[in-house]
Amino acid sequence: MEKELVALALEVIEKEGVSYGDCRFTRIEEETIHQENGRIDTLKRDEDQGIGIRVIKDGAWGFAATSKLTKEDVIRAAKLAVRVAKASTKVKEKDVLLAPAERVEDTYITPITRDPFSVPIEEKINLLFLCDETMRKVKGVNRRRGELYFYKRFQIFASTEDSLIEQTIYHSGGYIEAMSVKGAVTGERSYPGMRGHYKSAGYEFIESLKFPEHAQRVAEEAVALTTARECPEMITTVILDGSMVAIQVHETVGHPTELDRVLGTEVSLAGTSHLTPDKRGNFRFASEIVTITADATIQGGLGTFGYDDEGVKASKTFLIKDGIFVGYLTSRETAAVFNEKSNGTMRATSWGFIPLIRMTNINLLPKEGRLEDLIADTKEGIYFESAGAPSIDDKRLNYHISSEIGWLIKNGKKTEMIRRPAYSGISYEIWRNCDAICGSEEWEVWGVPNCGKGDPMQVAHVGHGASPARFRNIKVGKK
Amino acid sequence: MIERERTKEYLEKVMQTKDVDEIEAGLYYSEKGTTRFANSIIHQNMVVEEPYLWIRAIKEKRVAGVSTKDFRKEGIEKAINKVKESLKGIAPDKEFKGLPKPPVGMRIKKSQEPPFISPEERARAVEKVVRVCKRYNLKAFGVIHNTRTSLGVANSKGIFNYGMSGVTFASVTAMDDSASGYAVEIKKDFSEIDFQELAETAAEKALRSKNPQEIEPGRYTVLLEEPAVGEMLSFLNWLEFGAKRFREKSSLLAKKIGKRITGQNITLYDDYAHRAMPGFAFDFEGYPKKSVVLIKNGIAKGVVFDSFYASLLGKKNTGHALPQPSPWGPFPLNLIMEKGKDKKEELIREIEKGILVTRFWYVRVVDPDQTLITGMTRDGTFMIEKGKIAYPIKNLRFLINIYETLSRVRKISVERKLYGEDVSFVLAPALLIDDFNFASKTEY
Repeated sequence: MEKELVALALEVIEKEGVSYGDCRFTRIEEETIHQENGRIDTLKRDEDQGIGIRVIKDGAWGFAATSKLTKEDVIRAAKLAVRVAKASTKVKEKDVLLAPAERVEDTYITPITRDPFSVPIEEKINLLFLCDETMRKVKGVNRRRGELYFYKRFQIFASTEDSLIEQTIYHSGGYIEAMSVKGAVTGERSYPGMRGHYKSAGYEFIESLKFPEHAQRVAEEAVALTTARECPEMITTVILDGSMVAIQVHETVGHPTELDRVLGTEVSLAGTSHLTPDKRGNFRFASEIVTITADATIQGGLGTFGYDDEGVKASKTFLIKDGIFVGYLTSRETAAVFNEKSNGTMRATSWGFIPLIRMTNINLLPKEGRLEDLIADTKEGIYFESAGAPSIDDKRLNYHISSEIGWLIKNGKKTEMIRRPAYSGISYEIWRNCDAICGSEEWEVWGVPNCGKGDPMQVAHVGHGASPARFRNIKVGKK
Repeated sequence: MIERERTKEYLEKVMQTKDVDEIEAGLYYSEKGTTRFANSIIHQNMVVEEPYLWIRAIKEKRVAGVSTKDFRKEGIEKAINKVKESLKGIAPDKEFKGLPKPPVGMRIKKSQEPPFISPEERARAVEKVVRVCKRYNLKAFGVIHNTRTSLGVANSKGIFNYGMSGVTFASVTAMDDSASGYAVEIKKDFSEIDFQELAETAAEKALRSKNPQEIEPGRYTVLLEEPAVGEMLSFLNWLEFGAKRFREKSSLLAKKIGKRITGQNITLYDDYAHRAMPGFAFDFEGYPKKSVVLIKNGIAKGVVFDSFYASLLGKKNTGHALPQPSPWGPFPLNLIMEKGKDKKEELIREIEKGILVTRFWYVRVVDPDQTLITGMTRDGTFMIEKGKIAYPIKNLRFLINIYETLSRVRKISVERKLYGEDVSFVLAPALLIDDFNFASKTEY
């Protein structure tokens, strides 16, 4: 039925004389199970489906979408997309040009071992309760939480250029968390990563996280954080765990290399970028040990897929090579500006949104060594773990990032615990001060399931391969 | 739009579900037209219609939820079967006391259907904006969102309420290579927005912003314009004014009820009935909203409740539930700060030396215990000297404790603007604040 509706939409827009059009039927199933203090306060299963139709008519874009899946409603939406494009021509300078793309007929499915939607709810709830029971036994814990989240996206993409692609993508993840309150101070601690770890995978990923084994430590650290020292104000050496490097990459490399924002089309919300085209190939963004790619082909990343929402095959692109800024994330429209081909990063949150350039998996390539060796090699500094809230200016220069927990490093050893430490600076300066990156044994593809962009806001699932890294001369503190 | 009777029909079908003790259903419909423009052309233009049905079912104290956008008979049946299946696997919720009953004398005022704003009307508005910006050799960027929504909520205890709402969000950023200026209007009625004036305001700010000077971070007197205040208050709202953090005593307000928490000149309340406020007269459990005072003359007064937290804490339900089930608890969605007496220009005249902030960007919580937030200034930051805007300055990062900041408010403007989107709004004045902390600077 869905394929027929997609074909019908294409037929209508072709009759309306569009120069290009594509149609996406998307069905997203989500399951969220959230427990708090031994109570399942949220067991929710959501299903979202509809059709989005994007056209270029008279050189301008139009888009309409509906979740009403009758032939009449799809015809109405297709005609509305054309009408919207005609309205766009009222404020136009030149025709939209798209970089060429290959015609594709293909199917892609995330490789999974255990379908998360087939795992009994009881099994998932028992896992959360087991963690809760362990955390409850730790004296001083006021709030225990756990959440499991599963996502399945089925999509049919078809275009007036005769591409027809079916994709089924699975994402799974979750977290456990404890909070302790002592007077006016709270300690919050979670596992894993940045309050959760998410992958393009099935339930086997949840099993691999071994939540129950971490529950006691999480609870104990939450309690300890209520009496931990505040972050000192100083310039020092900083070691970030993999999840924090992932956020650093996300904010200071991923977003500023999105070519749509570089060209100004995200000004109304997200802003622009300091990585302007004149800097490409000659701007020293980072130290020589830093190489960062955008790679939608690796296994397990939240930015892993077969084809983007313009039907362009997933690919790997260098953004930073040996410290030099060399590349952008592109779409067919933005790549055409530089006479290039799209590297396939256009994704829409659902059928009801137009695709935008989104991070795929933005990966800091590993170097060598383990985290413990890196700490042992550091005379003085702070080790940050579990990313908290990041903030960065609208050109992606001045950043401020906090974490759940940190430890002072003295003479190669982790010493005093620090509560919610923060560090800040200018984005290229921190990367230029990167003098060590751990090896592939510490490398992990972290998932960010809540990357916001666009207006209206679209929330995307993106990935970041990263291992812990060390940065010199960094401002830390909350003042 | 899905009109009242049709909404009722859908919800009544769900109410007939067998083998459950209690059931609740809500039908939210939104039709959103968006025209986005950049580099003085329309580059994204769309209309999206999106009905959304959610169901919460309860059996033997087991609570589960489901949602769907498939409104065909089989789509709704599938959703009902899914929620019933979930009920089998979940443990009883001992704290859940049941769905809310309709309060005695419940009467919701009938709402008017908001008009449909066509893509052509939005394009004409953008034309006006572009024309103004071109006159000043500036490029126009921005967005117009026009949203029409309807909401119906019913439960098996006799609640049924229905309403319609409309809102237009319009922002303009006027820019060239060296400067940018921003203006925004959010109104219930599209026709109330003067796009020419909006563009003139943004253009004027952009022209004044050329060649900004770098200043050192530190503590300054500031004039925060309405969008900046709206953003700051929305963070305070999510941190402090819901019953969940109040119950777990992790909010500051929870520890200070009846005591001073801000300056005496600060009064904050939630009131869906204010004439500027879009939205509905009832919450996502269908329960009528009440006006709630949160801070009065600087004294912490209270928080908002939904049926769950009201029953748990022995309080009255104030009608502030989010769609259920949800782990977040209730929140004010129509936050209002009491206005002052002086016009914004008079506030500027009061400042011997200080900074005017047009808007904030990328605000995040650094430490919830202290209501410590950080973010950047953007699109129009100026030094004020001797009561006048003296020169543009490069953007700064602020790092502030919100309550402490609200204890240093010298004056409040008489003008207020709506801030927010979708279902959550803040009506905010401009504030003249002393000793506002800027922690670092950026390069533009």
